[in-house]
Amino acid sequence: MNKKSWQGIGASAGLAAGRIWLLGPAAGATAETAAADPGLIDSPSQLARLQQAMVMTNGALLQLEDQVRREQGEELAQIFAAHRLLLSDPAFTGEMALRIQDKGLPAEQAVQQVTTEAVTLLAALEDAYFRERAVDIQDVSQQLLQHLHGQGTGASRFPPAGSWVVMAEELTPAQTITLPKDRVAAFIVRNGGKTSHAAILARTYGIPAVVGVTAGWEELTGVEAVELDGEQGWIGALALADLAALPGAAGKPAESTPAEPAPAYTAITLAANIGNPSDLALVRRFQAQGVGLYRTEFLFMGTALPTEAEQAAAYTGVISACAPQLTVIRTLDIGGDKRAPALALPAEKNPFLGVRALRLCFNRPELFAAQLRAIWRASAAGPAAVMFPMIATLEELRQAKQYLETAREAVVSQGYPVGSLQVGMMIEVPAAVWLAAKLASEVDFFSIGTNDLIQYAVAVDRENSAVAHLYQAYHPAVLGMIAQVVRAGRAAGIWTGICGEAGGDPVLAPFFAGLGIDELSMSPGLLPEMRQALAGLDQDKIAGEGFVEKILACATAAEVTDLLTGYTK
Amino acid sequence: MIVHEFVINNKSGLHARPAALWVQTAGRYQSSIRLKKDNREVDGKSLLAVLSLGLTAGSSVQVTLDGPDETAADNELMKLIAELAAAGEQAGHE
Repeated sequence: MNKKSWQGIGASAGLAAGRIWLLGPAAGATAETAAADPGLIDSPSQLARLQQAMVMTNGALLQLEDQVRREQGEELAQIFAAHRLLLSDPAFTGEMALRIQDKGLPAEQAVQQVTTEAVTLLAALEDAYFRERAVDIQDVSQQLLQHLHGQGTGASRFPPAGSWVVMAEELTPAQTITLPKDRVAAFIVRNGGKTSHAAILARTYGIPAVVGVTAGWEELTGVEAVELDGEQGWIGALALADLAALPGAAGKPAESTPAEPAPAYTAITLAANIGNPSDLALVRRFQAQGVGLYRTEFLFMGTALPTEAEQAAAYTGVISACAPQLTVIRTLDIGGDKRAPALALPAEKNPFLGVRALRLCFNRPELFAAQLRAIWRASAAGPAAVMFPMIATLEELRQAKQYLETAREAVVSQGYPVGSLQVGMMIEVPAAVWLAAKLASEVDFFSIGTNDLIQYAVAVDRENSAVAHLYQAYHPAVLGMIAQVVRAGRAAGIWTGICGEAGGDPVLAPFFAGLGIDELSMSPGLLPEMRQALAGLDQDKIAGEGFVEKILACATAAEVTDLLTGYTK
Repeated sequence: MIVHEFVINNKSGLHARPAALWVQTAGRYQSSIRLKKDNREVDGKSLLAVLSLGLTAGSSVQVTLDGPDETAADNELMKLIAELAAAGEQAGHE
């Protein structure tokens, strides 16, 4: 038996085992074909090959388009619709056919020539967004080449049955979303940190993931099957025979059974973080008490911006599905590590300290106003709240609220029915922690975004694995900030929740319970464990004198964890 | 033959989805449809060609339609351009 193992960063908890499926450009797709000898090329047969590759690519794209439309809605599906349009483009495939006919090129060379020229043409454009369309051209071209080589493409090549560990150098949100999640047992990604989008999405879907596997990657890619621990970041090689012997491993991905809601700490609402309306299935499966964080930015990460009506439809869908429980919609939080081609954001030297989230919205008022109008239009569908990310000053909060009021007036004057919206803000900038008492008097609730709060509090780029050890949710300073915010909220009579990753960390359950936090919102897959952790707490001990103070008095993260583990029954 | 200028006034220009909508609409007509900007004239039924003009917001572009259904094509394409500007990308109305 092969005992080799690798270490990465645990990005999404859970144990999994399965055969490896490598995600990436198919080998040989871009390999140069033999130089053309017009005398030897049979143009009609080359044309027929191109035609066949076009038909097959179209079929594969259609399949992908349908899947994305079902899972994620029209907006993302249109990326693939545009790709199919290229397949019937006279300047693209039409030109390829001409080159085969007139110049006697083999199909592969015609595809490559026209692609190179098209990419060059787009690369010369001034606008960065148009230049980025070159990626779409290359994407379609690559699929044509793969079909010419007799291979399937991309996600459509994904094995139709079984449970697979998807391995990739990098995993984009679109890839993560489009892979068939019923057949993905786990993700292993070479690049990226614990809070990369692929990792967040993996947690959303409850799929174990190990990221940042830098050492020994080449060796790992040669392995046929693995077992892994998405919490510890451990990956072990498995022989196929051993894999077959593992209970449940080869057949279907491990499914967490939703636990019964815990009787203890019913005062804490356990809500879900979601990124897409399709995540609602997980909200139900894991019995979330509403949505504590609806990340709207995924609507904006396609190749085109969503219209107000499209946004209103998406938000309405989530709100009405969650009713009578609350849906908290976060306004566009983009910039920093999130890319949105349709927004054509300029590159920044320090994107996490630059134009992101609310700052971006203030720079693009038409975008912000349209989103707020869409939220108001959806507000009639059920209990809803809006919250603003990345607020550092009181003026920003007031400005955002002004936009919200203007949007309401516009929507009402257009005759749309509107409901009531709770108005809240995220606390993720240390300056907002300091100002919490002042801010609390202007909002209905706080939601602490621990991912960014930790990043800004301990000055650690959360994408940088070299300083990952300093990114500590248990840092006494971080817990002190959380305590300060909760107390400021309670003094002002508003509720406080946590929607960052720490909100789903069962180790912190005693602290949150002792503090009297009102809501914890997390990736749906984490809910059962948190429910269990809260149920297992020794309530007398936690209610005991000075419990929270003892934790806040700790000097190190290690002291904090030692203390916390002593409060379970 | 119809020849006239128009301005792309949706916020993000005639990129990806808007360009795809344009090409899909144009493709439904028999008439030839050509777009011209800065002395570059391209096939208005080709996504690649339309993208290659780099029509950002505010771009002025000349369209030439020629064929039996040129008037209907022009009407629908100009309606599309107006709708793109109105559909969520610009403040003020839906």
